[in-house]
Amino acid sequence: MDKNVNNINDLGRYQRVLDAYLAHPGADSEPPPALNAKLIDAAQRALVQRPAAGRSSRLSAVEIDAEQRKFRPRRRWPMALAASVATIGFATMLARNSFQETPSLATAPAAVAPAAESSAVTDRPAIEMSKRVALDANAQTGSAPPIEAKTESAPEATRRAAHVAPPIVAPPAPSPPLPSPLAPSGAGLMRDAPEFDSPEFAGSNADAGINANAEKIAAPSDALAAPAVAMPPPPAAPATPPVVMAPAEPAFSPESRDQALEEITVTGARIDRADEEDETASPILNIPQSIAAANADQVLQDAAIADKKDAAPRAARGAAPGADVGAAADQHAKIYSTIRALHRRGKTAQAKAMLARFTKAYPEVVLPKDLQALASSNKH
Amino acid sequence: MIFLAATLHLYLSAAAVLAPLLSAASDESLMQAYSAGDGKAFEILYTRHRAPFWRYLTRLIGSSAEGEELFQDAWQRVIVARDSYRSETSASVSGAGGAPFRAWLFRIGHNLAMDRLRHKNIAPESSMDDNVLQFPANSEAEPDQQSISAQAHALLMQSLAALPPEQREVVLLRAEGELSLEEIGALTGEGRETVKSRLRYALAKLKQSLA
Repeated sequence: MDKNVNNINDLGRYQRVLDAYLAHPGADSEPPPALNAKLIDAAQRALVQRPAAGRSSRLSAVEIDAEQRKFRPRRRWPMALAASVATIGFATMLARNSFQETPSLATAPAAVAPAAESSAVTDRPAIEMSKRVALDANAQTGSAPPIEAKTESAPEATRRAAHVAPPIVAPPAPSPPLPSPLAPSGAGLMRDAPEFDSPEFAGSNADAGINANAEKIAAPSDALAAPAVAMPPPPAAPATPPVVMAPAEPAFSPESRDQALEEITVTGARIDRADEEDETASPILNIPQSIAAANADQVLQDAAIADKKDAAPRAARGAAPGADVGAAADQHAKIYSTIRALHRRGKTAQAKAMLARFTKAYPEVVLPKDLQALASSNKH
Repeated sequence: MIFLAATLHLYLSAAAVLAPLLSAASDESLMQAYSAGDGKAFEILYTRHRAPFWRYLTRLIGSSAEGEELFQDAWQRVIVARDSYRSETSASVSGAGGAPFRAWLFRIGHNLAMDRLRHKNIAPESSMDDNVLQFPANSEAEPDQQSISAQAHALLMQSLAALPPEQREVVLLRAEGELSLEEIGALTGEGRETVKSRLRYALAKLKQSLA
């Protein structure tokens, strides 16, 4: 036991009374027997109600991992991959079906009916394509029918063009962040699609060329090997805002000032309490004082910076200066008491410094007379 | 039949041998035994600490009814938190004997009492109810001696109730919990010097009132 405590314990009657108290602390010095039985029973029941005999109620590592897995964000790239493959496969199937339904230009060029002139003129790519197809077909069959007779109807040509260019039916760019080489953007598919004048497209075996192209799009190895396939952006890129350095000064908000005021209030209350306890100089009382001074300086410094920053928004709001802190008048009163306590304890310099910071931070506040006198005094 | 009788005899012998060992065990080992599933360990632990802990709570709150509620809640928490006791002990203030468990128990009580007082937004009772102020009837003492003791005890309780809450708690933790200044400081969140100062002021006031 501490020396001081020992000294005080040697107190004659007090010591005897205390000893007697500890030896026989009172009739109500123990809990009622019914309560004892109840608590012991509760303890026994808690042991029985364990999840399993001899097993801790804590989760094992495997169970914790399973629990955590429930809350992990799902990886969506397999779904996106499956959706992309399914969409491309569906597009390929549509292309095949449409060419099977459409009469083949290579095998039956004469069966192609002349197109309506107006629609053929308006759709120049379709005409160009149909002309090339017809020329190729003629070259293979040896006949030289008039070009006009081989002109494909505009709707059919448009449909073919649509099938040749898969981006029209290509899936939208996958929303999941993980890149998938099999889910390229529309631009990538366009680049994969053969040009009208490419040798792949030319020739009588147009179906084979288109199908080969579709298989090329669907084949993962080809897609990976194709350098022209545009990779989707990295996953984190869209959500990453440009890095902005935080300002050197502490960010201010009314809440932060309220918090600061609360801190200084608590400090003031601590000093006041210490003041009330004893005036006969306890060494521990110096600690709150120093803390109070440090806190008060920081608080008021922040408040001054904050007020400067807040002046414009406050004016924009049309509020009177200090209106937002006027509600905290009682907190100001506590700050006053802190300053008074410092002054009373002979820490006049600290009190005046704190007062100066306070008046700088809140110039609109009219100080009490004694603090006005303290501010104007030359005493340190 | 003979085998059963022999088994029962062995069991009773083992229990007779183990019971004193269990009673002499430290608080920490008892708590760990309870955590491992030994209900008897809890009973011994409870019997060992119930009286001082009860007095601490009822004297601190100043009401035996509320003290009883807190007492129950605190022991319920001990029961529920039995598995986490090991980590608590490792983080607690090192001390000899049963201090860590005792400090842990009193910390639970302190937190509950502070929560209750904060919830009610009041300070601890400055006067204690009649149940708390009752003094033991020492049957061995003479009636006049009993009367003097009763008066002294009542005076002590009144003086204790008149102390500021912080000082009262420090006195109770010291007298009832037998905690060291460091343990009291860790429990109340104050420094050792603060605790020492509070204890000094409190004892000086008690001395003055009992002089």
